[in-house]
Amino acid sequence: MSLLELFLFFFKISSVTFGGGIVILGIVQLEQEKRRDIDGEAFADMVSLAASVPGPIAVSIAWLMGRHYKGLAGSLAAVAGAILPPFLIILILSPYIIKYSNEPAVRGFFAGVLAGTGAIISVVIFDNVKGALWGKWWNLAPYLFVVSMIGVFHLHPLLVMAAVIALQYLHGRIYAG
Amino acid sequence: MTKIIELVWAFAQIGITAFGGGLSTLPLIEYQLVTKNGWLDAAGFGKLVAVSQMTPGPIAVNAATFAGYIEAGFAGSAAATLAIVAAPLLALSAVLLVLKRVSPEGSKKFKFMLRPIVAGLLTLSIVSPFMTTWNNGVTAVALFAAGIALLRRCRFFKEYPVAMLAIFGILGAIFMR
Repeated sequence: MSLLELFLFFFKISSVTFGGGIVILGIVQLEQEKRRDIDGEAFADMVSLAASVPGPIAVSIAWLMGRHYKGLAGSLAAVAGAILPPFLIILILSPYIIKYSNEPAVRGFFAGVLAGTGAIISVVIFDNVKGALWGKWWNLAPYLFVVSMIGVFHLHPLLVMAAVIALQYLHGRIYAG
Repeated sequence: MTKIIELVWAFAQIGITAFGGGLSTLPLIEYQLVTKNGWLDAAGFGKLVAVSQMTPGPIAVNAATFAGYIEAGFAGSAAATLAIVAAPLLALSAVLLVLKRVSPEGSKKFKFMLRPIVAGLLTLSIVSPFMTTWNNGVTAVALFAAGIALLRRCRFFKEYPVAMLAIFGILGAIFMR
């Protein structure tokens, strides 16, 4: 892909993908399979890496694919394509949201959307927590640690996560012998 | 200028702790914007969550653009957005530099280690939207319950949750004003 193609590829996907996260990886994969110019294994490596580093997954996969085709310039073009649509949309909406956010109807609109978002989160949590903990009871320890230290004691997430990753690493070491 | 630096610092920290992406980023955003810096109250954070879910693109990018705009206008939104993108990309580049080629097995192991952490963050992400919905009254709670039922039972809304959010927003604007 040329620089312009990389930019447009991610611009298009980012403009129409709601929810972010894993959803965008699925769509990138479908689009990529149509093109067939990265071999399957290399692409699987990129997906795997994008999902295991911090930060928005859409941005990481854009960076890695851009790098594959055109090096640093490719990465920058792809990432620009991935973040411009959401950036511009929010930038255009923000002044109106601030101006009208105390109108009763607008407040009601946000209250309705937030109730629906709560429902989406609940469903996602149920599936995700079940998948992460069911039958893998050791995982309860890091899970409860994250929930209590960040949620109850309001410790800095960076500290909590560094501690949990260290704990998980040690456990992996000991467990593997 | 101080405000811009504070925004960049806050979103850089969110960026490098945002493992798992998507909704699991919400508690990290809440920690920085509500708990630590006091830029938003619970209602303001609810608005941010609602806006991020209604618009395309990664939630963290939406949140950065919106919070940056509220705090420091266009410059703030541009700086916060760049911070949330650049910080994790620096981390990704460091990983690539250290490992040259990431072994698929290592990345798989690491993802497995992250699962309970992401599950913990996701669990925390429901607290604020649910509390705000609870305070918004009985109609909001009814929408929340109806949302869970719709996402579980209705294939259309499962595939297009944004359609459900739009409908709930309109219902909210009519019945929760």
